Amino acid sequence: MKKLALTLATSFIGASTVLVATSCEQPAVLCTCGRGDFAAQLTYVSGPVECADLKYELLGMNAYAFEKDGPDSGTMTDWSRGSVAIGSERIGWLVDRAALSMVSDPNPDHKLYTVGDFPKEPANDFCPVPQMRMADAEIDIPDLPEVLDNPMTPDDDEAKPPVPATHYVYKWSNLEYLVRPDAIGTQLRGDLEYTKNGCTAQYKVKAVYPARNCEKQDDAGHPLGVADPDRCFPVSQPDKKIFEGSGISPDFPVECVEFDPAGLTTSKRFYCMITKDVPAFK
Amino acid sequence: MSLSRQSRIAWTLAVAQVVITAPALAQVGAAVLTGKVLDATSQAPVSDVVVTVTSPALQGEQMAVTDDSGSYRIPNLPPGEYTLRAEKDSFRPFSRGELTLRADATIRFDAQLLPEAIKGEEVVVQAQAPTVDVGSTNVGLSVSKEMMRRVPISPPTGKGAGSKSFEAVAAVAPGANADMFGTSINGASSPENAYIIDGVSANSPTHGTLAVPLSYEFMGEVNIISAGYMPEYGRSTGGIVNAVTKSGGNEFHGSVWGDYTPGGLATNPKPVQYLSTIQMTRKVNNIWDVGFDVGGPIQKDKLWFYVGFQYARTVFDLRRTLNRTYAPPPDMVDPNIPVGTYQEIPGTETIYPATSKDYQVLGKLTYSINQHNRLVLSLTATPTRSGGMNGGKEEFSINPDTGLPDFAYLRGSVPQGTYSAMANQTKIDSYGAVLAYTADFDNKHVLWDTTFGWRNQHIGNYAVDGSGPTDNRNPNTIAGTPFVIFRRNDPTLHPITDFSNYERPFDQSLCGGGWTCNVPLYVAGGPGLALGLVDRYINRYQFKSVLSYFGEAAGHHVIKGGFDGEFLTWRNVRGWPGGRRYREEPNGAAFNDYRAYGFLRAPDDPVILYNLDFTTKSLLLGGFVQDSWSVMDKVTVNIGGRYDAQLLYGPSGDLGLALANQWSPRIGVIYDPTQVGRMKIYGNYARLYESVPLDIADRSLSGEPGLSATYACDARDPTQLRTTCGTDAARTRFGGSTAASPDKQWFTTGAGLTPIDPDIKPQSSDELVLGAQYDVIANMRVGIDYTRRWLNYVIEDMSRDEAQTYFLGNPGYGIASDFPKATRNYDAVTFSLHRAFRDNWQATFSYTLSSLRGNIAGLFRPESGQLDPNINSDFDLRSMMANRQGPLAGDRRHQIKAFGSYEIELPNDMRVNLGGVLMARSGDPSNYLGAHPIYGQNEAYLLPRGSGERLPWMFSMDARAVYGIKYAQDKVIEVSLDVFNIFNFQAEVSRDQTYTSSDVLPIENGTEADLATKIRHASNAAAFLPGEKNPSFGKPAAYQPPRYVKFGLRTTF
Repeated sequence: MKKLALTLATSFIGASTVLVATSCEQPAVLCTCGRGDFAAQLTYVSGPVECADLKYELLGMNAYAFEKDGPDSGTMTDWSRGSVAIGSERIGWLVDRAALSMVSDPNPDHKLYTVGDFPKEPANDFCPVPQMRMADAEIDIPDLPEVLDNPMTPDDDEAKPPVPATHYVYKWSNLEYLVRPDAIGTQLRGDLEYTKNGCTAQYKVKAVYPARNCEKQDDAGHPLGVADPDRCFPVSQPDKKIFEGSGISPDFPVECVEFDPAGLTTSKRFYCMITKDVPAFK
Repeated sequence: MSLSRQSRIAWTLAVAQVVITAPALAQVGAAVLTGKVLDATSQAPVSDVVVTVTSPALQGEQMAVTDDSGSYRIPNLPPGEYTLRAEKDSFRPFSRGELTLRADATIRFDAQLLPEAIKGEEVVVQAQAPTVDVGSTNVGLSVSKEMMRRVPISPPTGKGAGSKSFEAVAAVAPGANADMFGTSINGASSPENAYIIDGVSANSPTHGTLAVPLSYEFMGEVNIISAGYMPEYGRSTGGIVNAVTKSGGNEFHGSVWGDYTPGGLATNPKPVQYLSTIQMTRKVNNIWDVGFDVGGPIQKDKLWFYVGFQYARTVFDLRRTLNRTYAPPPDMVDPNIPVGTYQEIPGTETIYPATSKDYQVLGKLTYSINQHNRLVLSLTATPTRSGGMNGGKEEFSINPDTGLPDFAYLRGSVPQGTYSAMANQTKIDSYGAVLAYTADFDNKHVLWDTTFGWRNQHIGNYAVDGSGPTDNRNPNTIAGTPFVIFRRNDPTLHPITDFSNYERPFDQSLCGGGWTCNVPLYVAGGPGLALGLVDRYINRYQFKSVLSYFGEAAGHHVIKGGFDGEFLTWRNVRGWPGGRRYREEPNGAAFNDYRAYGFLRAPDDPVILYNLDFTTKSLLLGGFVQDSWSVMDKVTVNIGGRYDAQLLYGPSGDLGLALANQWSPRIGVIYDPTQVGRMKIYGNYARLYESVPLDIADRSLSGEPGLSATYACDARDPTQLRTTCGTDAARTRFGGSTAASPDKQWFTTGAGLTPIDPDIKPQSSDELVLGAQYDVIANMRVGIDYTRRWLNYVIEDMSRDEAQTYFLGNPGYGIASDFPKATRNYDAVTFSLHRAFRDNWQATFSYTLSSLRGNIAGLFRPESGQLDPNINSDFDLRSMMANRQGPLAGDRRHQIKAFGSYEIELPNDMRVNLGGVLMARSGDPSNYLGAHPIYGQNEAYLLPRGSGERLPWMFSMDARAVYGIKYAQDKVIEVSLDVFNIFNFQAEVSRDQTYTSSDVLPIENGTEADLATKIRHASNAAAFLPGEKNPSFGKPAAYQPPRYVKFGLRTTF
């Protein structure tokens, strides 16, 4: 009998040891990125000075996944195989402007974005995308005529000036997304080879998600043409008449900077930008 | 307790004292009888006395022999009435009956033997058996078969009422309160409780609520432990509801019963009105059940059986009408009709039944292999069928969580839309098996209990034609038709005449000439179920092995150690009707499929998933060691601890969340100043850990993929709803896309797995209990206790960047340190009185004064009804945190509960039993809620939590009369009459707390006076207009159930 009790006691101790040894590590985060526009700062590295004028730009991004292989196909998503599309505002504006004139890029293979593949998990907090899988983001639009104001809508000014023929190519490489539980793909660094109408320059890029407009507004909500750093604060501050938080992680050091006009508009724009190199933390 | 002086009656053999010591010995629910045998003349312990117990609840007899200290111990006894005999040569034999052993308790019974040599001396009978449990710090109430039979403790409506679920019984315990999903115990939400039937968990693996609403007709005893429990009970931050089913015996016994609650004798429930053209009222049509149970020997003293069956049917009548309101332009007012007149449109009445059929089967075999080895096998089945189109009759279902008619989509308590969109069909199948093996060794000093449990459940939520999630591509089924919400308010609301495709014909001219028939909301298409059509396949495998040792070392010890494991699996197949769910844009120009499963594999390259088919798993492993050390029969020290670990696996099969290192210390001290078991002063500290239900794995560790797009179509036309809407041609550019967006037509929601704070801690709560109990007179004890509970860490999903990205963590700690800490502080003082059933009467009374404050109610959100354990919206955004601290729902300051029964014996073997229940409690706090710009309705606390006027007190008085006649030996026929809510009090039990549906800013630390001037819009701080206030704010949203009369007929044999 005592033997049995001893055996039981021993097995309990054994079971307890297994329990205590149970892994308490949380699983790694999967590679992904912020879903929406990033505010990007572009630093000129090399190339002709004619096309060295980029300083800032909004980059549109989204993360994609694959269907699960095998029997789960059609009922599950394989989040471990992610990819990312990166679009640029300059090209997007041109495409939208061309649509107003009922014009589009004659080459159907041209896209305002390109797509690259993520690894499954980050290494040292970064998910690298060294090369894109799809062709470079490229748009070639012929001359766009002037758009006239619509007399039926006296309150709105739909008039647009003409736009000369433009050909953009954005070639992205060495992209690295910061991915950790407290920053889920919300910072990016990488290289851009930018071509406008045949002129090509190299840039270093850093970007933060989400893009937050930080132009000061009067009480009626009209823009005042100056920066308002308070708008980069993560949560709303009704006392300062700021009714929406920036959505930028409170751990990121940000300031409100003036963007250069994107090329198709002349109005001033202000966005919150990280003040340090990626990974940028306070 | 001692020999009297001479000249007293001499035939008595001994003097007895009964002491209940130590909680929950042996297999859960079993009781232990222990004590000492002394020589009545010298008070010296007598060794080698043969102590034997017998009981109708026990197979054969159990025996033990006293050791050198005169102590004996007979563990692992089923609860019941016992007789004890003590025999030794040279002493007169001793016998004592009426020893009541309760579940989870150890009775201490000391016997004094009279030497044969003493002649002619008289000994006093000290028959009073103390009822104070001087061995444990358990706080709660044990509800016996006797009480369940004599007292009307289970009203005919409410959660599990149709099936007579044992959970309803739990509400009688002090500090227990009915909440939206069950019974809240000591401030914790109902899914935090551990529900145990015959030693294995009966909680829902997916959401934590009770999954097995087994009828209390099959229960021998239901023990509610609200606080102060030992380490053998784990994985609960609420209370323990421990049910022990009946077993067969050496004689054949059984009963046949039937109950009937006619709707005709029920009073009319107060209608809850919503300002709309469509109204629906409900009333009980009838509720009835029939059942039988029988138990007896297959082989006497060796193999017993018990079988129970019950069938219950619930039918409500729902009366739907269309109504019109007189609201003409000012220059067209007919002076004979008051403006605002609201009247029913003739010919628009429809009566829908809401029905449920609940089946319950229990089978049990008890096998005594020999005196030291026992096997128990029990099998249960609890299927339910509810709602749907039965032979062309359009029926609604009954919600198993509320016991009331279920509406697939609700706004303002009154369903607004078509039968196919509002109703659904529910099928639940639930089967379980428990195998328990018990062995004792070494003269019962060592006990080994092993239990295996398995439960399989299937829950189906279908469209009314029975079509389910995988039928949603078939346009010929209701499941293949998308659900649509019409909500136009710009420039005008829809009149009901806009929906003539969906409504039965009526005289539409009645909606004109100054009369309006507007509907602020209307739903049509397939069922609007919040989670869509589902087929859930759930399994719970359990294993538990406990070793108990009863020994002596500086006092008595009961040392227990155990290991237990659970493996839970959940296959969840779901789909939206028609694969998507449309919502009208406020201007009525387009429809948005704001719920559709799918993802993008490249920009604007969607993969629509008509069904998600996720299998998630949870592995729980735990062990405990505890010692109940009783020193000098005066002080008992209960000390021990548990270790638990839980691993949750997402649908990919990978580990999703690891919750290890759950160390739960527990320590309790009980002091009996009388040393005779008539009083105890006690205190206990415990740490309690939550068992996280699988919902978090299904929803957060899965990356529930969602797609959204906008379509220009007219869904008021059922053909367009099924065909045009959803096509590439109708799709328009998505409003949220920017110039830079790679996607112009599709928007993804909830994509990707939720990351986890690497330093996340398991959710836990601490508890402190202090109290005293005293036996004032025979069989009656009074007690007072104080319980305090508070939260340590809570697991929730949060976003620090205003819904851009989410993670799982602990609010206030780790990467969520900029969130407020989760708090829920419960303080309660309870005064109680308990009088066991003896001499024809019993009574239980309790008064609890409590306070429940904090910023999280528990595993569901009472304000919205959201039940997503550990991923509710409580802490989702930092901008939602203002004003969240305050009295929580369920903070009912005063609670009085009284139960009693009295039996009158009449001549000719007749008897009448009268039972009564009186409950009174103060009302819940209420709030001023507005909409949050990101989270919408009711997620902004305009004023600090609990600033609203409290709801009124609720009183109810129920009575039961049973007339019984014995028509043969052990054969009784009983006729019973129950009246619930005798005085038909229909107090408001829920209130519309939506102050406004506009997005507003919380007035931090504001008061009611600030509402007039300080409410501002969240988007621009513009002033709040009086018209934006919800006209129904502060109006009742639900009332206490009306008076019901129930008839019963029962025969027992």
